[in-house]
Amino acid sequence: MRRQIPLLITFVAGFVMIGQYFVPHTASEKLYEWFADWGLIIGLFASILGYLSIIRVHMNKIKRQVPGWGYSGVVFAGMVLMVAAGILTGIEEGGFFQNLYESVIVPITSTMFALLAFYIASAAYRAFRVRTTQATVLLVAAAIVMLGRIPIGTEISFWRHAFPQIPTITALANWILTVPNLAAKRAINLGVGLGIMAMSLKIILGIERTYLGEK
Amino acid sequence: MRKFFLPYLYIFPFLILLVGCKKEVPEQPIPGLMPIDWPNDEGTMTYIQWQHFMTSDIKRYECFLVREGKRDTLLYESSPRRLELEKIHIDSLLPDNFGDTEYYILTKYEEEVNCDVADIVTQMPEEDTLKAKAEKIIRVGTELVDVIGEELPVKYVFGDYFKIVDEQGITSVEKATSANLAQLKEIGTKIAYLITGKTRFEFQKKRLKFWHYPLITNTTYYYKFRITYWGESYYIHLDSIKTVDNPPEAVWDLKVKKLTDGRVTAVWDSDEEDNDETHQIYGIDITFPEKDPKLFNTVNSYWRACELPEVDDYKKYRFYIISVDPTCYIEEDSIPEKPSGDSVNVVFVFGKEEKRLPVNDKHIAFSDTVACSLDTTTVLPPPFPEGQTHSYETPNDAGDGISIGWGPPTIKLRYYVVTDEDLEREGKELKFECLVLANPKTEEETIGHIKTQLDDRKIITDWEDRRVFEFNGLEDGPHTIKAWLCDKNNKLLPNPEAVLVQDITVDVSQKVFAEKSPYAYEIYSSQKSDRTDDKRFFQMLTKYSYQKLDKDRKSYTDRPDSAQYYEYAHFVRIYDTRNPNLFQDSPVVGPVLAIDNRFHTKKTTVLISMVTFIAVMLAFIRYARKGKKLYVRPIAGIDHVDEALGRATEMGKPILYILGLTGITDIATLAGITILGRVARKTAEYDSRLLVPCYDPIVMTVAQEVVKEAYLSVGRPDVYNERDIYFVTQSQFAYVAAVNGLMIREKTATNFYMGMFFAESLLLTETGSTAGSIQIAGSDAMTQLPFFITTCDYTLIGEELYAASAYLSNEPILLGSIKGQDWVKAIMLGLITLGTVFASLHWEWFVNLFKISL
Repeated sequence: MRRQIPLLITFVAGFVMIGQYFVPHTASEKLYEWFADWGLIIGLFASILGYLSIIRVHMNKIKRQVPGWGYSGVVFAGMVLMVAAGILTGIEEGGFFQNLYESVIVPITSTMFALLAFYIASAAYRAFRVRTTQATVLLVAAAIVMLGRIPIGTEISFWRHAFPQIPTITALANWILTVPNLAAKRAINLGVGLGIMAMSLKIILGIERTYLGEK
Repeated sequence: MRKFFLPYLYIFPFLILLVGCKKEVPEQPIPGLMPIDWPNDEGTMTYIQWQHFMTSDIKRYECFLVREGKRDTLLYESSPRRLELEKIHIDSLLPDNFGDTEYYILTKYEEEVNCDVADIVTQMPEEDTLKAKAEKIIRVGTELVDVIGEELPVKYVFGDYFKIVDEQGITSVEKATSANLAQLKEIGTKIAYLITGKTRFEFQKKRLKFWHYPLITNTTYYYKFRITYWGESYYIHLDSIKTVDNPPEAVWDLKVKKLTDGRVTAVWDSDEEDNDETHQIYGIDITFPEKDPKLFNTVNSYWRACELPEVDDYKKYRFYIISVDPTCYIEEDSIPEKPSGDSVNVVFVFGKEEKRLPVNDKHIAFSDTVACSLDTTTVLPPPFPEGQTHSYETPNDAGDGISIGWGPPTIKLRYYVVTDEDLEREGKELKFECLVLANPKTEEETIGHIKTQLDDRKIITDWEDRRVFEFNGLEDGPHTIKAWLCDKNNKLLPNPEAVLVQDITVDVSQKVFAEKSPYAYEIYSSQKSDRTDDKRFFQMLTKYSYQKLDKDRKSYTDRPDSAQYYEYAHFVRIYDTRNPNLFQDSPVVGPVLAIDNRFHTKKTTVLISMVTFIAVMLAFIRYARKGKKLYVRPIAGIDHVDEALGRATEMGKPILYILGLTGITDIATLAGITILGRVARKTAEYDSRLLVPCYDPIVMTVAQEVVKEAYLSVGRPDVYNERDIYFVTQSQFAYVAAVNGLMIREKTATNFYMGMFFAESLLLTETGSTAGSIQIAGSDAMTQLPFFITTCDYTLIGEELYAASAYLSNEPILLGSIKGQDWVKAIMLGLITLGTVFASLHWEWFVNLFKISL
């Protein structure tokens, strides 16, 4: 019974929502909104569980004084500060809460994001190392696309006036992006679409039960 | 001592009086200060206007109503109305197209204002001497005084000439040479008045105003003015002003036209855009002038145009229009006394009711009488063919729409003007679209093909949803584009607009020029389904130009709130945008009631595809259940899961599992959770620690349950630790920081990334790679796959993520579903190949089979 009821709910809700997609009736739209509202409500209550989880994990670290437990204290201090700032001073534009967000959280987040530039450089170096034929093709294609995306790509195509029938680096980069690259993307998208459909059906029909903890 | 101070004691009260008294200004310091009765009102409003210069020291004006009736009684003073002065910027006063025109400033010293003043002028076409040019310049500041009907003298100015320069958004003033003055002329009606300092120019408001209302008609009012300088105030008594019950504004430029279809229309104009006067159009029978004038139509001034339906012989009449001030509307039973002055009888028409009311003739303004002019050059827009206008319940909606379709299918062109950047990249390529403007109601039955031709090139025949044809590699110069609409038997449609022959010119700058249609449409609807014969009950819903029809259709969907409760009738009007009086109306169609639809017919293809997919999958699952062995292609990433888990066990380090950054509603997350169940079972068996930091609280809850069940299923509930599956944060980069820290601190041996990822993917995997972990990723995020492939040891690309759980379980039923999925993919590949072949042969019917509308 503990297994059957969730499976039944999934089956009924799944097929009702599939049917809703094909029925434009007012009742069908209302049903969809009703489901969406319930999703929001459940999400709200689940967020309480999430915060309880984070409190429990960090309380445990402080209690046991594991290495770096002081940072758990910083987590609580930050939580209390933001909540207090929001309640006491409001969340209006220009207020203390907003200033905290814009002057502390946004710069820290931007710093993390900025690391991506260095990581891309490092990953690109690793990807473009000429070890195999495939890696060589990748390197050449990447070089053409990178040059084609910047103004110098046209400038260094010295043959463009003498032999206009030979494509410039810019034109070549566009071709790579719009023909082989797009074809591969579409193939992956097709597979993803079918995969999503198959996965959804397996869950709705109760074939895939791993998410319930079953084998 | 006493003698010394006594004189001062006497002087002291006088000093107080001297300081306390406000100075009366002997001469009027403000030019143009006067009270004015508001014209064209019923005597309830006055205003006081004057000029203010930016170099003036006056900081504030205040106006008091001193007394109504008598000037000598100063007992009553109204609270002052204050006007604080603001600096006015050049941008706010100049016309919008300032940058397109050169403006010149003419300055001179003016005694009345006691400082330099200036006018702005543009170039004048005539050639003459400098002095003569200057004398012809009308003082803009004076000319633009905002007083209706006031005749103002034209003044002339002399002096230096300056030029306003607007370069790249920076406005400056330069002294102009006399050579620039060869073409000076007066400027339009929206230019500011200037005042000059020695080194800079400042703009001023032409006139400032105080408004005062509501007042009593036929009453004299007295005002006084307080002007505040730096710390000092002065009072000025103004001339008395009497409120007068004025006639309404007279309309002008009345034109009565007979159109080619026999309709007689009246068009006029007036100064006020938003007045609410009623206008009545009369005709005097010139063959029998002793007869009473005949009232032909009564309309609200908002329209400024109307039809004169009862004019049978336009040569018989001279027309005039009267403006009737609505403030004189008096109910029949509430006329206590006759208004003063002579009265005339005026017929008011409100719908079907007629009332004859005595009205003061002061409330009527007559236009000039005009004779009807027959304009034979007037060309009406094409009429709506019979039987081509439809209104119908909008299919496939929630019962809130009624659609109107009109006219036969026509064809038009749209041009893409290619940008320089595109030209640089792609060469000289210009693109054209042939668009079919079709009425959806009749489209399916009538249109079979579109044929297009550019110059003498081969004819292109096509029929697809977007109906786009591209003619690339166009050279500069004249070209001709032809387009034909054909029926399903490949025969040309009968309506003339089904053929388009358009001459275009491509110039050296690669731009295309062609004439555009001047017609536009208006859609009208009426809820009164029993009064569809009377267009007064219709209201305009929308208007849109022929060039910008919604979705290139000759249709409109009306979505009134009560579409399911009341029937609605509609008609369409086509009019000439150059002269909106030239219009044609379609027949009134409907009334129609909207209905709730139970099936979206345009999604039938999706339904059939889905049913086919389910059938194939179930067939293979059934096949697998029978015990038949199914071969599925091995996937490296999945094959090495065991190896990765084993390595973590050997090293005694934890395993990190990331479920992506989307919620439980994302299928990729669900796929990640199913794989997590398989992985958790193995970690329980191997007694390895599994860490799952979560981005979403619901995902965390589900992950906890899945891992717990997995540990239970292999009989190791004691190893399960709920604190290892925890919520971190819902801030993207804060989550990255937390997980990266975890990788570094815990030295995780194996990292799994299964789900949907965004910009954080590389930050996570690169850190894992640096930390020396074995990494297996699976995602359908197309933009992140390259990062995963570069930095991870194994990557499940797209659909492999969804198949991974089945691979790991090795259960026949799940493998059967994968086999079914592969077969559907094979079917789709076959259809795509067929579609490519058919489309290449212009057999569009096959492609059209798969049309869907979401």
